[in-house]
Order: sequence, then structure tokens, then C-alpha cells
Amino acid sequence: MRGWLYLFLFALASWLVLSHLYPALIPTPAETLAFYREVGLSLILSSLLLTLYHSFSGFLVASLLTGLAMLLALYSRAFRDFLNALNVFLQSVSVLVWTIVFIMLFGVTSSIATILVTAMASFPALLSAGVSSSEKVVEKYRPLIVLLKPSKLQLYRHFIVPGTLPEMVSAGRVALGIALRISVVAEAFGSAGGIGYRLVYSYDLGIKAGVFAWALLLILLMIALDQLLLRRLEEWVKGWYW
Amino acid sequence: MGERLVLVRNLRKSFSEPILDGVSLEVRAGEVVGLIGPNGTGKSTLVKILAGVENPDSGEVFVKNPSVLYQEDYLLPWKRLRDNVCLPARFRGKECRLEYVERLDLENYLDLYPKEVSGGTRRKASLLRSLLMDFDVLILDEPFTGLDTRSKEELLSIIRELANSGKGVLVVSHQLEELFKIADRVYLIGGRPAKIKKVLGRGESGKGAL
Repeated sequence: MRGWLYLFLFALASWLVLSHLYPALIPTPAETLAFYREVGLSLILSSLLLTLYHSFSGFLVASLLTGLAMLLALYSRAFRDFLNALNVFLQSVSVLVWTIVFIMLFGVTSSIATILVTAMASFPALLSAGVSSSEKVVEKYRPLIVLLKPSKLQLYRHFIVPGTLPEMVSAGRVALGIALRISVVAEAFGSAGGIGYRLVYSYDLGIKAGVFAWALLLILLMIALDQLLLRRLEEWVKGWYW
Repeated sequence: MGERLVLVRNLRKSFSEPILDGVSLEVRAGEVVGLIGPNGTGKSTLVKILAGVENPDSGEVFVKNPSVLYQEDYLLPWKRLRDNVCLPARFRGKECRLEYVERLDLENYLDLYPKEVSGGTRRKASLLRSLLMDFDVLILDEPFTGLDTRSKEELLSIIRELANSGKGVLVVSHQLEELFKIADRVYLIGGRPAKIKKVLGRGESGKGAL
């Protein structure tokens, strides 16, 4: 907790100094707070909820794809090799490429483009963890698996899914962070709402307090989600296991 | 003589160095067979070969429908003990009949998770799971480790009952006293790489043999 206090004081002091040194570029904290009052709670909440919707939907799509990939990997060694290659490929594709491709396919105003960009950005983190932790679980319990001879579905349900949960929650924490960061980038390019869209809109209109206000909102949202929800979920799952 | 349930002939196995060298043994229906040897003589490797977890480098291995208690418990930490012991029945779509629960003094622990019970109780739960499988031959690797005196006596009695009902039982242990109480035949394994040094019949003493 002390670390967070120091960080807050450091950030606030830096902000005050920089806004004093570069008043034409950087708004003061007071100006930024005034912007929040100006736009109103309703717009802030709706933008925040839309960004959360994009991020969580993209994360959910990536999670479902990972779950499916982990199941299919049990049936075929060739598919496991394909997944490894796919993962390298996905990590090599820039978010900008996904954004442009999906906007071309679904249009600027559709949420689908933003959700899919977010999904494709967070999918590699989940897929890597899913494939490697599946292999670890199967190796760890191989003597029992050989003895009990479960079907592939039983293996998936009783061993893989619960056995990989701690690693998947850790990976989910990372992936959701990626999803949140990427969703605003995607919103900036191809959406009619959300924090990313508002941020770029403020930039285009030269409202510097707006740029800072929306950026700050995103940072606070990510920290709150990570520290209040994801970190605790991760600790709970690990503590529950051993 | 009962049906042959385990046959191992001239088995060899190496990892980075030779572990087992020409090991041969057999277990027939209605028999309790012991395998005794010091630590590090490849007994658990032999058990894993019999279970099909490891492959031998050479030699003949035949095992008819085994159930195995490994040296490690392999209890799934995300399942309660009840679900762990019922896993074999569940995988076969059968009703889980919790025989032996009271004899192993497990009735008060079945609704707990493995992390909530002692090492001895985990061992007994793992033992119970192997007993609840459908099997012709039961292979027990160090089954007495971590058990209290009463549970050891109960296990000895269960092993004898299983043999009397026509099952084969192979007990791998370094605890001589328990094994000589019940075994029809005891294989003494030793050396590096390990070989069968001696085979003792019922009533013969193994003291000093290793």
C-alpha cells in the first residue's frame, strides 16, 4: 500500500511540475478535474462501460478459442504443432493490421471490429499458457491417466480444465490487461464510443484536458481491475489448490 | 495353480544408466507376491512398467487388468477425496461403491480436499482409489508408508481377502515385517543395475538376504 502512495505522490508531483513547465501542452490536475465535471458522469460511465464491454467480450472470445484449441490439441499431435506455429504467427501480427482488417470487414461503427481486435491481441497470451500448462498437467498426472484411461473429453474436463486453472488465471490477468490496452487503440480507429474514441476525439479537437482525463480514466480502470479483482482472483485460485 | 496375471521375463530398463537388468517375476491369481529391495533399486520403475507408464528396453511384460497404487498419491487437488476415489467408477459410468472406507478409517474425510488432510490420510485415499477399481491384479508400491498400525493391519487383512477371492496382489515394499506376514512368495531385488537376487517361499526368512 505504501508503494502505491509513493507512486501517487510521485505522479502528482511530476504532473504539477510538467504542467507548470509546459502549460501549453500539459493541463493541470485542476483543469483535468474540471473536464470531468464538464462532460458529466453519464458520458464518463457510458464510455467506460463500452470500453469494458469491448475488452471483456474480446477476452471472452479469446478464452473460448483457447479452450477449444486446448480440447482439439488432445486429439492430434499435428494440431498441437499447428497451434505452436499459429501462436508465433499471431504474435507477429501488429494490432494495427488487425484493426484495419476488421474495420474493412465490419465497418467503423460496428463493435465487432473492436472486439475481434481485442480478441486477437489477447489470444496469444492465453494460447501459450493453455498449451504449455495442458502439457504440464498431462505429464504430472500421466501415471494416473494411464491407469484410469479416461476418454479425451473426460481428460479435458477432469484434468486439463481444473489443472490448468491457476496458470490460466495468471495468463488471463495478463491477457485482460492486454485486452484493455488494445481495445482503446481499436476504439480510436474503428468505433463511435469508448475511452479510446473519446481520447482521440479530444486530441483531434485540441482539448488537452480531455486527452489527459480519458487517459487517466483508463489507467485508473486498469489498476483497479488488476489490483481489486484479478490479483485477488489469482491468489484465491492458487491458495485453493495447494 | 491360478491363472498367470503378471509375467515379467528378462526385463531390462535404462535411463541415463542401466536400472533393471534381466528381472523376471510372476504373479498368479490368488497369490500375494512381495518384491523387496533397498531404495534406488528400480522397484518403482518396475511398477511403472507394469502399469504401462514406462516402456521396457527389452524383455517380456504381461499384466492382466491391473490397478496400481503408485509411490506418489496422485490425488487431484481440485477434487474432494470422495470424487478422487470415485474417479475410476465415474470414468466407466458406474456407480461408486465406497467399500473399505470404514476399514481404512476414511469416512470422516471424504468431503475434504487433499490439502486439508494429513499425508497418511492422502495415502489411504489413494489406496482406496486403487482398491475401488475393477482389476485382476493389484500392484501396491510402498502401501504401508505413512499408515498407522491399525491401518497397516487392516490393509494386510484386505490384501489377504483379495487373494482369497482370486485376485493377484503384488506388494512392493522395503518393510520386511509386513510383507513376510502375508506373502506367498517374495522376490528380493538388489544391486546396480538391479537383479532378482533370491526368491523366498512362504515362511522363509528374508533376514540377511539383502
